[in-house]
Amino acid sequence: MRPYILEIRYEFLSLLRMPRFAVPTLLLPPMFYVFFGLIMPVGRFTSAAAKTLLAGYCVFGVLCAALWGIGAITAAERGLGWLEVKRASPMPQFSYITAKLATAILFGFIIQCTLMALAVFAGGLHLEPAQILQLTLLTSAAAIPFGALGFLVGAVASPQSAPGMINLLAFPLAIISGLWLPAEALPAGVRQIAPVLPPYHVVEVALAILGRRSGEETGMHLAVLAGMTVLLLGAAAVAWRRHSAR
Amino acid sequence: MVIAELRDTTKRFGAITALDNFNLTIQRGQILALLGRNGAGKTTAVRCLLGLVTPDSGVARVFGRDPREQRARTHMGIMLQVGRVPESLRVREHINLFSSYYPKPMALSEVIEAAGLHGIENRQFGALSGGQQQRVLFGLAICGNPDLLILDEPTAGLDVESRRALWQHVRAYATRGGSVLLTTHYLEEADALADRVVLIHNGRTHADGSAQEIKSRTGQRSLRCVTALPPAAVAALQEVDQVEPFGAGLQILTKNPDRVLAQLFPLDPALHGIEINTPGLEQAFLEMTA
Repeated sequence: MRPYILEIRYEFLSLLRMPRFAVPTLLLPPMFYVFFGLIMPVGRFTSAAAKTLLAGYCVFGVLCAALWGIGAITAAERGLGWLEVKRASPMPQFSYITAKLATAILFGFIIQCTLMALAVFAGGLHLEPAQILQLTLLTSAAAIPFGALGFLVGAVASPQSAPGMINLLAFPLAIISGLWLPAEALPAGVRQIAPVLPPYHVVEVALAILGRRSGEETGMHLAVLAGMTVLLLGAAAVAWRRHSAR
Repeated sequence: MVIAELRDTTKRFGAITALDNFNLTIQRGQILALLGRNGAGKTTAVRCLLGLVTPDSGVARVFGRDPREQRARTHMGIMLQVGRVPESLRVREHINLFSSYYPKPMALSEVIEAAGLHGIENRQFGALSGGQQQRVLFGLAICGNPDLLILDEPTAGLDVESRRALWQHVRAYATRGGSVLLTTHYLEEADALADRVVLIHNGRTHADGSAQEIKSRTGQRSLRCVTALPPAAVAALQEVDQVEPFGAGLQILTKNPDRVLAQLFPLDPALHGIEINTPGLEQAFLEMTA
């Protein structure tokens, strides 16, 4: 167990001490949330928008933590030889992947706590303990499909091309899935594409947890998400195998 | 006792044959230098021994096992050429993590001592100089108390002082009973460290023996002198293998310097500054891989 615990601890510390990762990852979602969720909406929409966008930015937070923390880092570690050193060492087989995923979950959790604190203390929202718990479980689980997407980027991108590729993925994923602005505010054409994207299903479940959806479709969203997770994990595994089998 | 070997190993990358029926055995307690130019196949040989690449044909064995097995890897410490090491982790943290991969690691204080990391153990990796960073990577290689240390170009890009400092630590590890395989294109490094040198060229073994044996394998000597004769005229003399400008004069490679001098004096009575040297490993290396 010790290598796993140390691997997670040092992966987390290493990213936390890296300002070019930690600052945007931890600060952008709360900043966006304050602006779009708390300042912009006025009058009777305030509470609804604050809730809807709380769901959106919690998901956005873990999406970015996974894409940058896993995608960009593994692309660099693979491309510049560090992964090779780890692979040639007697490192336990799954500690590398576990540490990357756990770190994305931890960053997602910190972002979520910040957002919830803003929602409660600045936005005047009331959150039940059960809602907080469910939201935490949801975003932690969402780190797996998002992380798989990150590993896929890490397998195919070079250290130089990874950041561009991640920006090209993260922003459309966030916008089309309704993470930045509520899905209702998007054009109909865009809303039709959303169901093929994993973050859309995550945010729909998050909205149901926060009482912004009836919850009737939660089971369907979770099932689709599970299917997409299996597909993404499979694709990531194939891509990594192809790159390490030389 | 053989602890690691490559047997009839061939590995191709597209049209390039990196290893061509290559054989290598490492005995317990030995410091073996795999010496070759860039692209000679050194790194591929190491990567086969580490199980990072699978040979097209032939066998790689480490402590009697497939190198991809966890149990083979716990016997080895490795130092590879690496472009990125997590920079924001402290030296102590890097060592802690790698130590946790091994069943019987050294204590942190021992690693710090054995790799010369005093005073930098709490610094972040990215804040270290090139020489310090290489010593940290060496520390990661030895922290698991391995029986075999595999160092791929451990001193590439280091200044002379840092290089010598690292050699000292490699020697100290070997005196404690460890075996070492190191690849290098620095002849001085092979000469200074290794008790056996394997010369690899185009993926094949070109020579195998002690540094002394390899040096003496070539009968060539270098004759240096200052002369008014043009190099082309000197090159035309009997027994002259090669002529090149050297300082104010010429360097002549020959197996028979006496005979060459006997021809030179009548042509240039003012010939002076004569110096005859037996070749170093460098000369032998250049000659054998020409």
